[in-house]
Amino acid sequence: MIDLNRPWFRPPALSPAGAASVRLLFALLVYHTVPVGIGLHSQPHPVGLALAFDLTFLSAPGVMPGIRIGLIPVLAIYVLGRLPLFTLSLMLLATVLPGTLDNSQGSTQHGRQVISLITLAQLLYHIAGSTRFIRHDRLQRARWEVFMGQQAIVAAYTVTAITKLLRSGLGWITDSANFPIQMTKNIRMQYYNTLEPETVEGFWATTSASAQQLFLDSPNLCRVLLSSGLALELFAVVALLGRRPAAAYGALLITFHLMVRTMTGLNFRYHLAALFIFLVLPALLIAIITRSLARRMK
Amino acid sequence: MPILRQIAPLSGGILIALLCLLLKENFPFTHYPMYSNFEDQTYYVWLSDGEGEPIPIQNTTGLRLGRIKKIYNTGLLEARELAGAKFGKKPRKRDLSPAQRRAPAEETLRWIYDSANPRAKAALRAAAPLGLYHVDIRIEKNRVIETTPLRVGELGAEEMEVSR
Repeated sequence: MIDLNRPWFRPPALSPAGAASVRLLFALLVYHTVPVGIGLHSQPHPVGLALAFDLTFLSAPGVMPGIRIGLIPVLAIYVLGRLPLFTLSLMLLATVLPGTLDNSQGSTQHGRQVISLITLAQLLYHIAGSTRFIRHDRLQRARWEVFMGQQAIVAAYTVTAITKLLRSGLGWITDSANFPIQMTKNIRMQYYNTLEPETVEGFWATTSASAQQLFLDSPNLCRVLLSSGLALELFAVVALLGRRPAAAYGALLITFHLMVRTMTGLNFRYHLAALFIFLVLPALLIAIITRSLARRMK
Repeated sequence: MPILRQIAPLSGGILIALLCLLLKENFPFTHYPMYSNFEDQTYYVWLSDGEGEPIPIQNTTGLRLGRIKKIYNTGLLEARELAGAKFGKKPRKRDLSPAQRRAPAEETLRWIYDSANPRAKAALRAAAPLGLYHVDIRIEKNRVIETTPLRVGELGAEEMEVSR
């Protein structure tokens, strides 16, 4: 029986140190997301802020290294949980500006958006928190920050599934039997990227080729596997039902990404890191603290 | 309204999802369109030097073919729109003629050169004329079939000099 009087969705019950650990790892991830340098001197297909501003100044010598150096104290203040409106606004700018220029070339990269979306979600929470509608103490704010990160990740996965269904309907499931040609495409491009024989003869390539043949021989197996990924994305909101569902769902999504990476060579490093930091880690931290408290009580 | 009260804590996530769906590919928003439809045919590209030998483009420029293909694909989509405006019906990408593929291919090669650092530019000039090869892939009777690589465009050293 579903209990409507008990809140279904609530922030993870992290300790102040636990929340700070999540902030520290996220700060490191944000720093890693900001590129060391950019070599793009035009924006032929502008998107987002590039529609209004010329962002090619980011490619000038010294600009990106300067941004990265300037970001260090900002991230340190963020980790301490101070001045969130200031720190999150700058973190958002530092990730959005290079990402926008990069995606204004006529080729959209989808790796880094999730980091900016987490930052945006946290910033929106603090903007709302500065009004009289939300009255949270410091610990509640820290927990809600993590919860907003979780929500941004879940939103991204849900949108992925909705787009698939909007564009292809349930035909996506039957058409997914064509996935093996995507694998060939990726294997070939991996090879032509570097011309290293390892990319066609190594463990990854042979595993991918075996999986590909299996899918060609059994298209329904391919459909079942990819449909399970679609279901995982579509029902990602389950990850917000508590720390255990979050950890379990995060682990499932990480496993799915690693499996797709083995088959296609596609890199999901930002998603993998975000899933670990916001979905898996909070549950681990709470479990560690709960156990250590229980030991002390004995 | 207990259900609405239950969903209220998710307002931030719902807002982000709606913005992503509405604003589509406007960074940081995205509607994640990759793999949203699985066609029965796709293609890949690779780059060659003046001798027609493949260039390890990632080692030379740091750019990966996944990205280069997307730039070329954007050009193909524009060529498709142009053909549609001219002949009244948009052809499928796979049905574009070699002549219609030439401009997107050459634009892509120019973009690669323009985006390269000085050392990579020198390597690309030494390898000129650069060629862009297009290979179609499809499934036929439980087998993946690849077409013979088609040289869709090239960029000579003189054209590199006049690049932006």
